[in-house]
Amino acid sequence: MPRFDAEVVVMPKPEVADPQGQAIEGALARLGLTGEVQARHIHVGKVFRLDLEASDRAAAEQALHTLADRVLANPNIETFQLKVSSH
Amino acid sequence: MRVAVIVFPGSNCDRDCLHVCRAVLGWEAIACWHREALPSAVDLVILPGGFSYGDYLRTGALAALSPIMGDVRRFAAGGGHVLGICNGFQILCEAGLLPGALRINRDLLFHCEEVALHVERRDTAFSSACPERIVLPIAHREGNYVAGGETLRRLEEERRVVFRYEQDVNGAANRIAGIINEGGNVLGLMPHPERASEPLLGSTGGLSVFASLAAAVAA
Repeated sequence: MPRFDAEVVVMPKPEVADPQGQAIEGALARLGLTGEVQARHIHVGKVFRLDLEASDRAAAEQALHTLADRVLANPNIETFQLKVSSH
Repeated sequence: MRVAVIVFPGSNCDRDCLHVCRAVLGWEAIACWHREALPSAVDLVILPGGFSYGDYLRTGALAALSPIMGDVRRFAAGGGHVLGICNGFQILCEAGLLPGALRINRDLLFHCEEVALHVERRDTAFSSACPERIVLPIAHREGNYVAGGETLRRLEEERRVVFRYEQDVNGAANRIAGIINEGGNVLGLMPHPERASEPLLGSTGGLSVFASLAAAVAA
């Protein structure tokens, strides 16, 4: 069976408060970046990397979607993006 | 009263629950490992507090996929009473038995303190014996209840918020501390009634939750 490298990026939904992101944003501000460089709107998410074996790319993508939707992300509070590439 | 307390790897309030059920309430209480089948003819299932699966991935997310949860779902679907306390509440949300999710507290801190709760309704299986106000301990870092606007609106409209913090303690939407499912037989509660059920431990505000359940089962 063909092998694929898969990646799932999970991020909090924009409307869900992200206190970790806010805390990091506050800390970065204390670094003293001023002038032309500003860091804003920091959000903390997760990246999952895995190997998939599937009959073809479509099957791999479908399986990855199921994994992300049912386990890796909580669709109540998080969104996810998938990447599948040939191994 | 025959109770099953589910033990997940990382649960740490299971013995407190078993102790209160047995020694304080005089109930029959069975510790049920998450790989075992749910014992037959139980009146109540308790998902206890703790750090199931080390809180890996998301609090409650991996326990929600535990083998026992199939039995718990069937038990709940049949009208059985399920009480999820703290991590148990997180597990119920992750399992889809209750709506929404519990995220990290707004101030990112673990809160371990006594909080006052307003009992929003006293016509449920979990609150019929409660006074209007009870004081219970909380001990959590992920107790900040989050749900979509539509879900929150429905929860309030259907009066499914049973316990509400008097003061904002963790950023939870609408100061939600405990919610019930549509059927009225599944409750998730962040504070710990089992830690407030003996005078020796400082308060007995939690006993009224267990007394409510005893009355509901006897009815």
